[in-house]
Amino acid sequence: MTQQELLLAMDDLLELPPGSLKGSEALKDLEQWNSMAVIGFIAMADTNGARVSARQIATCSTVAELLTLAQPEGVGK
Amino acid sequence: MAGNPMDLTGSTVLVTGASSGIGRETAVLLSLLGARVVLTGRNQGRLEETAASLSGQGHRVEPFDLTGGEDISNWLRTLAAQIGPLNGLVHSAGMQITVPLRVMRPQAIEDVLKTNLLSAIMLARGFCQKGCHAADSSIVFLSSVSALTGQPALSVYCASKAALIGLAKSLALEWASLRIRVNCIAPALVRGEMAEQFREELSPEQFREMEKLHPLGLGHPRDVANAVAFLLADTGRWITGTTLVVDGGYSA
Repeated sequence: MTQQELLLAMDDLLELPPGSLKGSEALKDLEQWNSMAVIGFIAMADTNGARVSARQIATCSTVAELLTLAQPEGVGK
Repeated sequence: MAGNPMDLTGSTVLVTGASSGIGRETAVLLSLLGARVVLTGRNQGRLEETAASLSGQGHRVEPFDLTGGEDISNWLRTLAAQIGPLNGLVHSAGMQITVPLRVMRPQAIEDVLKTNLLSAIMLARGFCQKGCHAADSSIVFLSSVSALTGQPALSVYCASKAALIGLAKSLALEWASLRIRVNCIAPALVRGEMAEQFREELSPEQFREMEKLHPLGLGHPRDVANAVAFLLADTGRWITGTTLVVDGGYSA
């Protein structure tokens, strides 16, 4: 998935209108970023060929950092 | 093991999902109790590893993909023609995908239902064929305590495991006259690959919370295997259509 596609997938995951997220948003400011969304993100990354743990997610503070994790090995990691 | 009410000497039991976890441990225990075990799963190498840890002789490794579209009834008929009728079937093969339903892909939903439920239905259907089951035989499905309690992000898994309970109850009635008993085991989380998968997906705090939900701590695959053996053996001869909860107090 391209960065743009991942952003759109994140919009969908967080039930935001398509195109809402730009990447610079702080996760702590996103009301919808909760434990269910974390599990959904892990599944989304898995679909994209990336294995992500909750521990790695805890190190991210922005959407862009999070999406870096969702890239398969060797793609922007 | 004379005098042991759980002695399985002379019995032949097919165990699915025998390459790891509860399936593997069940196979090991059944062999200790004297059963001849037929190990099935997709990965021949891992099945061979299980076979190497069994006691006694005559066990078989029969790799088969239960979701691959091949005819399960035909496979069981061929197997029974070679080794004789089965005294027991333990369906331990299962698949768990932790994801909120809203973002679960339709293919993933289908995969879980096929692996956990459809394969159980087709195995049972194959098992009841003439010549495939012995007189006074027994089927055990591995359900889950989450089928009874529910679990967020596991809705399809829970639905598939709950369906096994309905399947067992119905078949217990349908096949009582054939002397085929059908039961479920509903375990909570046991140590092993699935627990490790959970540990990866959850934060350390969430995993600790999950552990705390088990008053007796997380289980061991042997705890579940013991219950399977109890239902298969003569100890379970008057038990059919029931679900035995083995959960360390999770649902208490």
